[in-house]
Amino acid sequence: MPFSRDALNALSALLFLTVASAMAAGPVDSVNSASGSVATSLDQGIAGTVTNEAGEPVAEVFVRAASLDSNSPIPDIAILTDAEGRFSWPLQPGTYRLTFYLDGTVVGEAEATVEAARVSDIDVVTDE
Amino acid sequence: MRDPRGYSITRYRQILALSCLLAALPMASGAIAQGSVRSDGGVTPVEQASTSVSPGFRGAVGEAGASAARVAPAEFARELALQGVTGPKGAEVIIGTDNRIKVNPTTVYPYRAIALITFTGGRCSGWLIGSNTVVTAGHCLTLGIRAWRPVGSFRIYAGRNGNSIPYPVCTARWLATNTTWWNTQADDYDYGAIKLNCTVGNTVGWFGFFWTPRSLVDFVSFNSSYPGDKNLTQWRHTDYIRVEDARRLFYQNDTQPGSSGSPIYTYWRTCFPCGAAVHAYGTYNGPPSGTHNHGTRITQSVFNLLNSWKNAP
Repeated sequence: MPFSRDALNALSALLFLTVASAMAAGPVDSVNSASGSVATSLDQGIAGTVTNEAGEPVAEVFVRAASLDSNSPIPDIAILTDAEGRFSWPLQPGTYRLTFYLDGTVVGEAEATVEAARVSDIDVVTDE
Repeated sequence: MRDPRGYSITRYRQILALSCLLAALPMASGAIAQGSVRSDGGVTPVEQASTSVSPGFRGAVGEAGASAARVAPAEFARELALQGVTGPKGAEVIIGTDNRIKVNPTTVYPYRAIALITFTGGRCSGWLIGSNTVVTAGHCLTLGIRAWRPVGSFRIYAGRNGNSIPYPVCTARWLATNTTWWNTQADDYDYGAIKLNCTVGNTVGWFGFFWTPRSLVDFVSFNSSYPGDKNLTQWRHTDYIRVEDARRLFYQNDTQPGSSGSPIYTYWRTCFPCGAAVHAYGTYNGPPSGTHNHGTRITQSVFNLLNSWKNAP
């Protein structure tokens, strides 16, 4: 089977690059990275606000997410609304049912679809 | 056999084989290093530990040595609202019957070395591995890819028991996670640590942790955490490791949202309690996760990183 010198040199170079990139794929993780930034907003998932019927924000509402169609795991974290009634749920793309609890009672439910690199907004008015 | 220019085909086969071997080495070793990312921009060199076990410590106080503080009435009234983090019984992370047992008192080792972690927007659990280092899930520290939760909002309560706070409340000096979680949020890299501004571990003690290439299936799995459906109290449950893969352990310990970051610990040689995984996820679609909760396994590279954070100043 004939081989040209150029072809063989090209093959050698390709193999070298393959090896180099394979080795880099591991060690690249061994380098300390920049500190990044503090999140000011969610980049993917579901975010929103919980208010009561008077329009006042409701804090410390537990927002539980259940997947309706996704094979993505849901973090076992307790997501709560803040003093302004806002919540942020980082989630993988898929459709979810959110259930809102206050004092152990369900005060709202909603469904939302998360798309890649998108944030779905949901505003909930509690029925209490 | 040679080509017309005199190159041996055998030689090129050798080059190809050597290239494949070199490319496979890091993967075959199972020790692809993970780097550290810190919220303060600081550098934690990753130590290559010569051991596979980091020992625990029972702490400097007796089992009843804590003098519990009480939360101020106004503060407790606000925190009582956290009863709102109640999930329904029989939810997907309670597998079968709810068999959790309330830990009381929480001033007994190792339960006092388990911490409630609160921050803006949620709460989690964690466990001390050193005087000032708490392990937790990566998703308790980040909000999406390459973004930290507000560091100044973190409060760490070792051994919290409802409105009783038996040990000093700590804040975070810095948060840390591994570069793979930071960049991809892959669930099998979901772990990190909090460097505290206090040394409460000297008082309450800390967990040991270990890694092994051996199978951990059928090892007993202890878990204790601050589940969201309970009023800032700690609950424990015992099961065993039922399924494993290279980077995850699966079990049927009952958990709830808020349990993320808690330890899955076991006996390992002379080490007990000895952390084997960081709990992170409840059940979800598909086997084995449809019937098991799971956590991030402490592999050699995870061990090295945890150890490095523990030893970091």
